[in-house]
Formats: sequence, C-alpha cells, structure tokens
Amino acid sequence: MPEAGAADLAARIDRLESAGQIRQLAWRYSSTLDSRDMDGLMALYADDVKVPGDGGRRGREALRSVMEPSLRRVQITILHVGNHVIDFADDDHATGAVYCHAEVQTGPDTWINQAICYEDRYVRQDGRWYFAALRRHELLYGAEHGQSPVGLPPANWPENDTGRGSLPERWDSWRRFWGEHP
Amino acid sequence: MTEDATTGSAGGDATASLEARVQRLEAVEEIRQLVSRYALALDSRNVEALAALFVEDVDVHGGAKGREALAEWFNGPVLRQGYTTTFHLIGNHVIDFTDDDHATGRLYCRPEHEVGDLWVIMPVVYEDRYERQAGHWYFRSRRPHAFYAADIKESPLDVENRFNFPNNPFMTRPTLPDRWPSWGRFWAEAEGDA
Repeated sequence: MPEAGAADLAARIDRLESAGQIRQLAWRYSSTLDSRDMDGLMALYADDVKVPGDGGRRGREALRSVMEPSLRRVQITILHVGNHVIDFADDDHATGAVYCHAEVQTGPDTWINQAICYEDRYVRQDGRWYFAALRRHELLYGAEHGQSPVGLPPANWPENDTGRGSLPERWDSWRRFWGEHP
Repeated sequence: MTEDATTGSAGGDATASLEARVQRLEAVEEIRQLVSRYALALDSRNVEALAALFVEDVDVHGGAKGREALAEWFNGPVLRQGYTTTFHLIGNHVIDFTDDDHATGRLYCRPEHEVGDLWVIMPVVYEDRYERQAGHWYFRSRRPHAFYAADIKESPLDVENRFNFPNNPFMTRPTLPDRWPSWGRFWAEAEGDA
C-alpha cells in the first residue's frame, strides 16, 4: 500500500474520477444515440477525433457525416450497456471493452437483437474524458426477434444488421484456445 | 464499513480517514472491474487471464489449489464441453465488505451459450467472494445460480424443470429463486395466513 501523502491521495482520487467519467461516457453514448441527440453524441468525441476511411479526416463534423447516414437507416434503438472493462495507459489515455445488448427497429416490420462488444479508446483533454476514435462496433450476432443466432450466415456488419459477427473469432485468445485442441 | 468516516480534529486523523475512504472506493472500483474482466476473459477463452483474476491460493474442484490448476480446470471440461460461443452480459452488482480485505458480491448476469442447435439463455446470479492480496482484489470463489435455462425461442414455462441445457458439465437445474431464504419465508407466510 502506498503512503497516504496528499499528492498520492489526489492522484488516486483522480484515477477513480476518471473511471467514473469513462463509465458515464459509454452510458451517455447510448442515451444520446437512442434519442438522436447528434450534438450531444458528437460532444462525447475528442474534437480532433480521427475518422476512419480515406483522407484521414479529423473532427466531429467529419465524424457526424459518417455516423448520421447509418443512424437514419434505422428507427428505434435501445443500447443497453453492461460490462465495461477499463485499462489505463497513463493518466490521460485509456482503452475499454463495453458489452451491449441492442434492440433495433431496422424497418417498419423488423425488430432485431444484437450482442455487441465495443472496443474503445479514451483520451482526457482539458480535464474531460472523450472517445478518442470512432468506437469499434464488434458484433457477436444480430438476429430478428424470436430468431436463433444458430446457423445464421455472416453479417459482415455494417453490410447486414443480422447474422454472425466478427466475434468471438476476432479475439486472439479464442483462436488460440481452439487451435490448441482443434 | 467498519471505519469511522468522520474527520478527526487533527490533520493527521483527517488524512488517515481520507486514506481509508479512498481505499474503499478503490476496492469497489477494482471489484467492479473484476467481474467485467471475468466475462471478457471467459467469452474470449483467455484461460490464463481468467485464472489470474482469482487469489493465488484459490481452491479448485477436485482438491487442487492455485491459478495454474484453475487454468487447467477451465481449459478442460468447463470450457471445452457442452458449448461453444458464449456472451456474458452483466448488470446489477451488490458489494458488501466484511473488512478491509474481504467482501462478498451478488452479480446478475444473462449469459447466452451456443449449445449445438440450441442458443441457451440462462439468467444467473453469481455469489462471489472477493479478497485483497498484496494490494489488489481477486475472486476467492464464484458460484453461479440459475433462474432457468431455455433456448432463445422457448418460454421458460415451456421448459421441463425450467432447465434446457444439454451436456452442461456443472449445472443441471435452476436453484433460484428457491435458494433465497426470504423467498421461502414469503410463500410460507401466505400459506400460514390461508
């Protein structure tokens, strides 16, 4: 146990506050996305957020132009967040894995369930935590309400909302585990 | 809490009290991380990471002790028999401290398992014991207790004995809610009144 000097205590409280803020970030993502509060959603990202795709564009406006079309394809969304693993690289940088059970109305007559693990990068700027990059939406499966994921073809998300996803095969340890005993 | 959280008049007492309070908050945070890490390590079949979440002298089924034996156990019947893909979505987490180094927890979890042609949903409550060793928190033990196990397309009410999970190596029946003494008392009272 470290000695309880004032500086040490301040650093430890800072880490606890960071973990609390990062958890809030994942929950705020759900509430702003589900309510289609696009300004609120974009405000969760660092202002120099790197946007995937060609050109290496940066910033919230560029990110919005990428995210908005996909959010207009669907109707009601319910992003129910569960597990949240947080790993700190230093006082201002962290990564995370966030489990989410999503319900999505993908059309007038279709309601689907998805099991998702978001892979996140977080950065602290001017005392606040943000998503440093577009969250990686790694799908385990998507299936219509009442449908079993067993035997579904690959979803190749975001190409399809239903089907088997990149998980669990994306996890190195999963491949190692089954590779040992095929 | 066993400590008196009020600040003393002298500066030293105040710092000691703050130290204790920060330590308790850190304990809560570490224990919360523990259960999230368990699910991720399990679902990604990272048996070494999984075993590392337990105390060094963890008791393993069959009388063995230690993380290495635990990793072997996970690597055998537990994770190689009965099911393939899993997804352990967790929720509610009650944490009770016994003292500065020991705590118990109850964690709600809604795991999904691919079992051959079945996709089994099995809501459980984990009964956990946590322990601090060398400044960090670990599982001393974990015991899942199921409400039911049913295919994603089935109602739990249509499932015989509320449990449809073929070849599950360790769980064969639901133990909740009957396991909760208050549940039994609640219904016994109703009978008594009748």
